[in-house]
Amino acid sequence: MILLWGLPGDEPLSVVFDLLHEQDAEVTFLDQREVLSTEVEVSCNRALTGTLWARGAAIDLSRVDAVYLRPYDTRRLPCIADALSREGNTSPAYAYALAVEEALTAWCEATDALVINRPSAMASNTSKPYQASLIAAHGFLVPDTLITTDPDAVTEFWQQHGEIVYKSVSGVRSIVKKMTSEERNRIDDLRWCPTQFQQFIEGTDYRIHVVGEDTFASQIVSGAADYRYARSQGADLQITPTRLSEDVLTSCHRLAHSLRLPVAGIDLRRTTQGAWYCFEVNPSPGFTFYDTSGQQLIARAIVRLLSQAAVAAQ
Amino acid sequence: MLVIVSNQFDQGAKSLASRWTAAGHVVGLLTPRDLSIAGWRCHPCGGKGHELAIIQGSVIPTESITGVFTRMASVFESDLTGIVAQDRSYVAAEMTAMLLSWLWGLRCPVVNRPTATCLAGPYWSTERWLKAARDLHIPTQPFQRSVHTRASHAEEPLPARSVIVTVIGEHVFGDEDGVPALWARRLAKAAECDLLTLTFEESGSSYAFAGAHLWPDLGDPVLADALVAHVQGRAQASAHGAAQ
Repeated sequence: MILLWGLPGDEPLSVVFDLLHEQDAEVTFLDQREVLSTEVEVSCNRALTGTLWARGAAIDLSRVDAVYLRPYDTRRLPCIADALSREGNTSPAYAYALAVEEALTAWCEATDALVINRPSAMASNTSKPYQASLIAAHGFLVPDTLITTDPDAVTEFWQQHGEIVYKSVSGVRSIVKKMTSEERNRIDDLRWCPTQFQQFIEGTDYRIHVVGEDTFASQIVSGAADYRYARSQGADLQITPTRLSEDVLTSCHRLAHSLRLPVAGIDLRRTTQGAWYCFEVNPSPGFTFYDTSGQQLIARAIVRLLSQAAVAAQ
Repeated sequence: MLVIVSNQFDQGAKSLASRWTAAGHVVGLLTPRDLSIAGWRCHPCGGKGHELAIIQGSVIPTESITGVFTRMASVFESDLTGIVAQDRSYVAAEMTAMLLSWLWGLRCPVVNRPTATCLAGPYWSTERWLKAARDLHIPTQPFQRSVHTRASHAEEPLPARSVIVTVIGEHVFGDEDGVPALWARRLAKAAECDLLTLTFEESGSSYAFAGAHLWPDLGDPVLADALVAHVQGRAQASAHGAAQ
């Protein structure tokens, strides 16, 4: 059996669900919005077993061979956000939702089923410089980085590199921005919170999706410093499937494998001199944004990976 | 300097720092408050540049830190009383991410080495610890976690007769020579922990592993002294290795 966990409106999850359904795969969708009526039991005796109750049906977790999970921040689920706004952090609904999440996460970490991806493996993305140190160990270049609370250090770093960008240190989504003289006026605010600065790397962006043994490369052309926000900033954006050298693809595959990520979205930039920089490995990639082939190639590869695990277990 | 990384209101960390200082060590306490002071300079991923840290409000060269003991899982919003309320969640995430990268990149011994899920080592669920034990063929205590709408969720209570041991480096405290000590060393090694407290259920002459955590009682002077000896020992060994 294949278990999907997340929101029905989440495009990557719903595309995978539809494809699995088309193939008559035995698939269960655990809707995160129904967390307050979801029940879980996880037992460890000689083996890990468990039962999940959702929509009145019992799911034997021992029969789950593969999981694809993309749960959202519990606090942002409508039923929980509402409870939090009324009752604050001590809300019983919030506590219950966290307990469900904790139980499912514990099961995902301990099960022998294929999990795309295990939460502990996804966590490397919660600290960009920590993940960058793992990336650098795999042969990719990473931009020179400064994390600081010292305005003078930023000025020196800026002078050293000419152009620099700043972005969040953590996995909290932030828009990558170039430092400008406007930011200089706010530079004293740095002391309140360590901030990450990086040398600006000129070049062409690529997103490589690793799915098991498969890789899918897309080239991104945009005038925005952070192409993910190009459309909202009125900048151009073009994403096209492309081919990259075997060396680069092999490095991507090894990197994802070493991070224990069966599925990963790797952000690369190729300089005009042909050097490859890696910015980030996204452990829960929104691949539908990049899959412009019209053939759902990445989704089909994920479905294949999940189905193979289900078949192998039988 | 030995650095203890802890949350703002951790009295245990303060007591430990006092004890180690009284024993003649140079000790600094790094709390989230230090991350809101101008002066930090970190160059992760082998970047070039002089690295500076703030410990107890003072700027120090990172290279002067000889060992670190981390006693906190992450920065919590409650640590950030000096930050406006609406920014605390973001700042806590940023500070935790920065500390993870900083601790990971230090060349001196760091106990425990941080992981992506916890600054103080592998923050494993009971299920994950029991799996690690099963993989090592160590008998395990049955465990059940239930989350039901009709009752509050509760983990199984510990059995009455339990043996609690703490691993510090190569040493085991609490049951030095028994079977639990042997298993504790193997589990700590598998989890890549220098410091770990483990619980075993005793039934007659047999034992079963019940769980582990990263927060030993360092109010126990034997453990507190063993820990500083371990961090110092590793620091000396790494300095000796670097000199050669």
